[in-house]
Amino acid sequence: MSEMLIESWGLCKSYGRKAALSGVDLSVGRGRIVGLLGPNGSGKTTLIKLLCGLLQPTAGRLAVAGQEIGPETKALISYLPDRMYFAGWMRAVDLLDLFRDFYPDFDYEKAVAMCHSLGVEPGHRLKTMSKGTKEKVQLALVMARKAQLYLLDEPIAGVDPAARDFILHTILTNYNEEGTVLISTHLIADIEKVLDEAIFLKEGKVMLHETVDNIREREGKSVDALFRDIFRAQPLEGGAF
Amino acid sequence: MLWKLLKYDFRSMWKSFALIWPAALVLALINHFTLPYDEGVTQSNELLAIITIMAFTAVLFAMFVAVMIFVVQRFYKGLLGDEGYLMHTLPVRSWQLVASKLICAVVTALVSLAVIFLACLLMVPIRWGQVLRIAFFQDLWEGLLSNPDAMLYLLEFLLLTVTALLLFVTMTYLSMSIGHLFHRRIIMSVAAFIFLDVLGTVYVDVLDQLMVWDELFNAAPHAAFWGVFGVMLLPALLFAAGTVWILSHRLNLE
Repeated sequence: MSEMLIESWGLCKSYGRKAALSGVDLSVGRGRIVGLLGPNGSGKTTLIKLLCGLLQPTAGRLAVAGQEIGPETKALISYLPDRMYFAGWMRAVDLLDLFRDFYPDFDYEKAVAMCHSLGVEPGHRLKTMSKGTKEKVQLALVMARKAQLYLLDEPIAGVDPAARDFILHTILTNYNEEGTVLISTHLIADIEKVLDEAIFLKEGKVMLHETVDNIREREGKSVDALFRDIFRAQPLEGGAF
Repeated sequence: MLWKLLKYDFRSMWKSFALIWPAALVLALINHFTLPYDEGVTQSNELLAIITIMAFTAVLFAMFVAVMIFVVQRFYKGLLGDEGYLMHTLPVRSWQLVASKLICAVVTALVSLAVIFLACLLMVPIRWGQVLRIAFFQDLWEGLLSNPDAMLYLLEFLLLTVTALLLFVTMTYLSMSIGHLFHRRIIMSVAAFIFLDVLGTVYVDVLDQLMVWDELFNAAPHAAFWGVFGVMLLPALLFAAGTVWILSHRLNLE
C-alpha cells in the first residue's frame, strides 16, 4: 500500500487553449482533512474530476493509493459532485441499492438512518424532492461509505450558514478517520477550523500546500486571512461610467 | 458488474415503457372488437372504429419515438450528461457501461417489435378457439420437423434483426461520443452521425467493387444470411470499440 494517497507529477489539463491546471505536483497523505482552496476558475473542480476519472489529463501523471486512475481507484473514492447526478426515474432507495451493489464499503443501514435523520423518506421519488433535500441524499450516500478518499466538491456552496454547519457536522461525524477528506471551497472561514492541511490553487497552479498549524505559526494569521491576502482582487480605479 | 449495471438499466427501461407497451396491447384488443371485419357497418360503430384505430396508430408511433428517445437519452444523459458523474465514478470498466446501455437499448427495441407483432395478432379476427388447440401445435411441430430449415431461417432472421439494431445503436453511440469531444456537442454529434452514415455507404460500395454482394446473392441461402450477418457485425463492433475507447481515454465531463 502506497504511503501517499494522492500523488501527481506535472499534472496539466487544458480546455482547448485555456489551461485549467499547469504542472501540478502534489502529495497528500492518509488520515487528513485537506482544504482545496482557491477562487472560482482556479482549477479545484478540474483536479477533483481528474482524481475521479471524469476528465483525462492533458499531460503529467496522477495516482491514488499508488495506482493510476481506473476502476480500482474509483472503488476507494467517495465523490460528492457539485451537481445532481440522479436519473429522473429513481427513488432514494434505488440509489441506496445501487451504492450497496457497487461499493463493498457502503453501509446501507447507516445511509437509511442518515436519510431519516435528514428528514428524507427513502421511498420517495428524487424528482419530487427539493434541491436541498436532493443534496442531503447525495451527502448521505457519500458519507455512508467507509472510503479511503472523500472528494467533496463545494459541499457548502450556495447554502445558508445554518445548512453549512449541518453539512460540515454530517461530514465530520461520518467520515472514515483512516481516510482522507479533500474539500474544495472558497468559503474558507467556515471550514478552517476542521482542516489539517490547505492547498491554495491559483490559475491552475499550486501556490501553497501546508499544514494549517504551520500557516498560522509562520504567517501569524488565519488561513482565511492569508487566502484574502493572496487572492485579493485589484479593484478598477477611477474612470467614470 | 455488467449484470448489476443491467439491473438498473432495465429498471429504467421498465419505468419508461410500463405505460406504452400495455396501452398498445389494450388498444389492439379494443380494435379487435370495434373494427368492422365482417358485420354490417353502421355509422355509429364506424366512427368508433376510426377513433380506436387512430388511437392505436398514435400509440405505435409514440412507441417508435419513445424507443428512439430512450436509445439516445439513456446513453447521452446516462454517460455523457450529469448522470455520468455517478456512472463513471462506479468501479466498473468503460466497456461494461457501454455494453449495459447497448444490451438494454437492443432489448427495448426487440420487446417493442414483439409488442407490435402481438398487438397486430390481437387486432385481427383470428379464431383463437381453433388456433389454440393441441392439434394446431401438433401440426406446427410436425411441420417444423419435416422442414428443419424453417426454424433455422427464423433464427437467422432474428439474428439479422438483432445485428441491424446493434449496428444502428452503436453508430448512434459513437456519434454522441465523438460529439462530446467538441464544444458544440449536439451539432457535432449530428455531424458525426452523418459522417458515419456516409462512411457506411462507402463501405457498401467497396464491398460491391470487391464483388462481395454478388458472391452472397449467388451463395446458398444460409451462407448468404451469415455473410450479411458478418458484413453488418464488423462495423457494429468497430463502432462499439470506438465508443469504449473514447469513454476510457478521452472522457471529458465538463
